[in-house]
Amino acid sequence: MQAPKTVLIVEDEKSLREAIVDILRLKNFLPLEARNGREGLELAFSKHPDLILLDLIMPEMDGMTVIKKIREDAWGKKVLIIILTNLSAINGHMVADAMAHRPTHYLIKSDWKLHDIVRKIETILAA
Amino acid sequence: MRKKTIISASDNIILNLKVLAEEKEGVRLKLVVTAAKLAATAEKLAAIAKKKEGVRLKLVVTAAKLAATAEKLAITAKKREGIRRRKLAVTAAKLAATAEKLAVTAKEKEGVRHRLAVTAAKLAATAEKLAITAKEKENVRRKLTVIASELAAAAKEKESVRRKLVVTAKEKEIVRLKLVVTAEKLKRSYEMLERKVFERTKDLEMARAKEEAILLSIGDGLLVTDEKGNVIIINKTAEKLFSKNSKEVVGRVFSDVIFLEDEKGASIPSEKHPVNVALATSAATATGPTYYCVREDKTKFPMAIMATPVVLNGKVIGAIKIFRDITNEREIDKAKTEFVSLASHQLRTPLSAVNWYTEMLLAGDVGELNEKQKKYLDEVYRSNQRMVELVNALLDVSSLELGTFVMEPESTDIIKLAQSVIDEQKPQIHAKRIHFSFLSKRKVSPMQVDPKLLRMVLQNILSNAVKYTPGGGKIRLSISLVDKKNILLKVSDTGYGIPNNQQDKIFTKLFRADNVRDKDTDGTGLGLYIAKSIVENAGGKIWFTSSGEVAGVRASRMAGGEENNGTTFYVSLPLDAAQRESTK
Repeated sequence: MQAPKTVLIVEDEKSLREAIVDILRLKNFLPLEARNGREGLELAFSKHPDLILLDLIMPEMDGMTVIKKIREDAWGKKVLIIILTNLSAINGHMVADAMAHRPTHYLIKSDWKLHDIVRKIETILAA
Repeated sequence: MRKKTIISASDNIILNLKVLAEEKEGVRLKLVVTAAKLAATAEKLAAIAKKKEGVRLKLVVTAAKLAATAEKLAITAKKREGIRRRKLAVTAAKLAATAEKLAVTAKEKEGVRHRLAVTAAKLAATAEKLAITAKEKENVRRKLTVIASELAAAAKEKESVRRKLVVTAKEKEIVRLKLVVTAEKLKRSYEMLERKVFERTKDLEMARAKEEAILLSIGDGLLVTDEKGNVIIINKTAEKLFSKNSKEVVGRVFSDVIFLEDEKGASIPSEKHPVNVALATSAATATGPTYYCVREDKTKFPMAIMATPVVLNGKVIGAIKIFRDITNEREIDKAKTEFVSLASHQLRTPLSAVNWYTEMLLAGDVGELNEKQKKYLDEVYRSNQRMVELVNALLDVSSLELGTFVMEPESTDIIKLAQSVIDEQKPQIHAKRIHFSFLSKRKVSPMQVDPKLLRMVLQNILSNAVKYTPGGGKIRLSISLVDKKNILLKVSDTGYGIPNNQQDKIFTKLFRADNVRDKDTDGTGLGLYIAKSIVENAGGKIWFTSSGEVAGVRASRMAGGEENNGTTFYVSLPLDAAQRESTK
């Protein structure tokens, strides 16, 4: 049996974060929790997770800054990042900016079922 | 008055001359009489002198006779010699003495006569002179008479002339009076004209001042140039925006005074200044990209510019640039965008939480649920799902209406995009056993569209077709090229159709047709509104044909769920991106 993949969840909203953590645990992932961008960045650099689920609008440090900083890092350049946000993809510059930093996917939370998200993660990590 | 005095003066002279002539005539007559008297006197004197001569001659003769007598007496005396001779001698002597005395007297008389003769001659001479004088006087008189008559004629002439002059004067007076009247009239009309000119000038000045004040007071910045780009006018707002006095700007080429740069801070070359573009192309030019105006102190502000050529008799004689500081609009736009972002985020977060937890419960991730619990949770889930859709649609609408939709056309494979939309709908299509076909006759080359927005359009139309087509119906999607200019998407179904009397409202926001409202409570009434907004924003068109139901027929269909003619939606989009730009 393979060692469980680590997934860093950067999400300020407790209920959402816990839902994701629960389902990932259920599906045999090793979830790491960060309550804001700054924590997320620290954990990313200290734990080097296999994949990062990143929210955009967060206190302390927003997701945009996090993805930029990660992409500046040698390890971070290649890490898989899924932006999981409720910020509409049609909302202009911020999204365009985020997309410029090559996230693997850009998912709208309210449009995605948890199980579908997990399937997405599994597919990406298997590839 | 003066004429009259002249006339009377000449009359006086004529009168005086007449009197003078008459006086001279009197003198002359007196002289003639005097001359005649003198002549008579001279004649008398001559006669007297003749008589005296005769007397003298008689006396001489007498004396000679006496001498002869004396001699005879002497002879007698000689004869009577003695006493008689003596007496005779004495008597002779006496006689001799008397003779002598007579001779002396004669001699004296001769002197007198001589004197008288001289006097007579003198008188005659005088008379002659007088006659000559009289003659001369006569001549003078004649001349005077002639002169008098001449003068009279002249006077007469003068009189006639005077009369004529009087007539002329009268006429002249009339003319003069007329002239005076005319002059008066002229003066009055001149004064009136003067007044009018003054008033008109004042009016014109007022109007001009007013126009200038209007121009200068326009709330937006105003800059007017001639055909070479030299500034003619800038208004107060422009002065304020540029932080420049109009004196520093007027007369100079505007691009030497006003500096523009783009959003990234690169300066705009002068030929791209809207004013120069307007002058060069004779077309109104609005700024598409926002330009910033850079002031001398390096501060800057975003500027919306509208430059229009000034055309007179078909010739461009200058340009008008209207502009304003859009800092506020920018901030408002930003606030709007932020609001939409925030709202979308805030609204969706709790919805996501409900979604995910019910999802896990329903999936049995935390233990099996009984049927009732499942059913209830399913209601919760579906209601929440509807809420999510509604929020999504509302956010799309508000984005569209706030203009925060950013059109980002990119090379898009429309077939591929359609296929992915179909794939999304596949579960529902299968669930309703709908026969679905996708027709694309040829490979369509990638086109310039915003894939996110086109996806929304297609999603809305296709999901409507699936939603409003009864189970077992047919849906057909086709994509074709029309005129090599437009791409045509066609979605036809065999669904309920759109009631005839509501077809004109189908694209209205939040409108739902009666027939589908009864049938399906899920719809938001926003899908077609969003689709239409996007399509028209992209320079395309959206329309439909529908069999349109009659109320009675609808009822039977509702009951039977039978197949009918359904609805076909068409979306036409221009391939050419430039064409799309122009319709904005």
